[in-house]
Amino acid sequence: MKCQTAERLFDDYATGNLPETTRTQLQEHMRSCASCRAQADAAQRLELQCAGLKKADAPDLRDRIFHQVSSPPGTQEKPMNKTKIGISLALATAVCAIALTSVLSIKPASAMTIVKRSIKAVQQVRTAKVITWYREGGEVHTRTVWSDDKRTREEVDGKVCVFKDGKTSNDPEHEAYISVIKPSEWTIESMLAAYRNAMVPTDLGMHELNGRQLRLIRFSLDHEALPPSRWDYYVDDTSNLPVQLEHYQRQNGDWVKVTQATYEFDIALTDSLFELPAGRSWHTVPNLPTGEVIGGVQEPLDGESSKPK
Amino acid sequence: LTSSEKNLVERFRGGEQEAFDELYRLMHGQVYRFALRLTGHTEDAEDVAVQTFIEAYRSRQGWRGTSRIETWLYRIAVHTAARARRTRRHHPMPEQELADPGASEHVGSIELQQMLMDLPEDLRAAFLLVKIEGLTHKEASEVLGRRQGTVQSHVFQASRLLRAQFLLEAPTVKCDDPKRSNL
Repeated sequence: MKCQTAERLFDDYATGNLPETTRTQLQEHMRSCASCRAQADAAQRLELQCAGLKKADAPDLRDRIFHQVSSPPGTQEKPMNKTKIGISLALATAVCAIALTSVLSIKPASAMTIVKRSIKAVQQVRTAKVITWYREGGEVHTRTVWSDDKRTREEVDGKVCVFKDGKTSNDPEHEAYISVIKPSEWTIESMLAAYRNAMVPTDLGMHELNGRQLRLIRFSLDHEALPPSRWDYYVDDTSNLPVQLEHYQRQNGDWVKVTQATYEFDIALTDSLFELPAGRSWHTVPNLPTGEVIGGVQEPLDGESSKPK
Repeated sequence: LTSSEKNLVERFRGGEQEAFDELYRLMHGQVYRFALRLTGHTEDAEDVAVQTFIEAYRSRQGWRGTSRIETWLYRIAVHTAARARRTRRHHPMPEQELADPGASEHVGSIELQQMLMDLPEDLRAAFLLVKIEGLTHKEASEVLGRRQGTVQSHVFQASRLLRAQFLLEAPTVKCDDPKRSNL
């Protein structure tokens, strides 16, 4: 038996699930292979510790769950503690709309081609300003982001947080967000994994939006585990850059807009924009994540049930 | 599905509150534990578990009922955790959370949990579903929306990485016969 073969047997050996003959062959191999003996020991140790992970006392979450499912729309508590689900919708909007195309297997060629061009265009931009309007806990919030490749300034409902080279301001009135958002990171395939093969892009042709003729690409989510959603993605047919994203969810039979986003790319950003607010200092943030995405909008959401123009 | 599960599923899909309550009682421990291992953080795990049941309730009529209940719930939990992770830009460091005595009560095996948090997300989820939750590779592939072979590969890779972590703590060993070694 070779080590390569033995390696594939360690897990079953540790759990006692190897057939007798195979187990004997493995043991014979291990007599002359200290490395595999060590690996088998490690596998058994791993198995023991896995048993420890199978135990965990669950807190009673009944009230939180049943309160939300029995509350009328708009009165629910925030879905995620200390997180901004609205931002996540914006993130999902941007990501799904821009990057999904790289993993989708069934899609109209024209829509795929257009979004591929958009991905390429976004990867080439150096600066951006993005404004996001999103709903959270029945309220509409605003998030504005200015970003170049190394620095990000962010405001959520007017509260400022500045990021620079892995550091963040320690503004006590704002959660210590820890990422520098790069325009080139807006297309992140890993974000799409959750929706793989569940989204279908459709090219809906040219539509007028705020006086501009833009191509509308629609991504529809058909997944049994998630509420029906669609992302309407407006693309500038000349620059191939995204202009606006709108995320709708099906609620009580209607499409409800939950997030809307607009982008400005390759705009001038002054150094002063990224300076710390008075009285603040920098601190280093460990484990800087990659792959952050942003989305945005120019005007407030226009009602509970709206359609793209 | 067993007949009792089918009955529960039909009642649940029909919007019967008692069925939802029963589903919660049956599954909330599993869902919370999975979320805890996935996120490495008790508060996040609670959020994921809560959101999983809420999503399940809201999308119950869209569920085709072709898979086991736990498979469906795990699937929602994976999506929910992924969504929360992307959103959580003030991400807590696992080491800090796990060093918290309060958290350790839930975490059980601190050492392995820390190693799990160092794994790539795909590998961690596949390993947890198969090795901790006891799903088959096929069931795990349904949860993760991946091919069965991919899930098998991820579980194998995760096991290998975790074993390597254990070996790092032990004296270095070499294969006696270099020609037979793949290390």
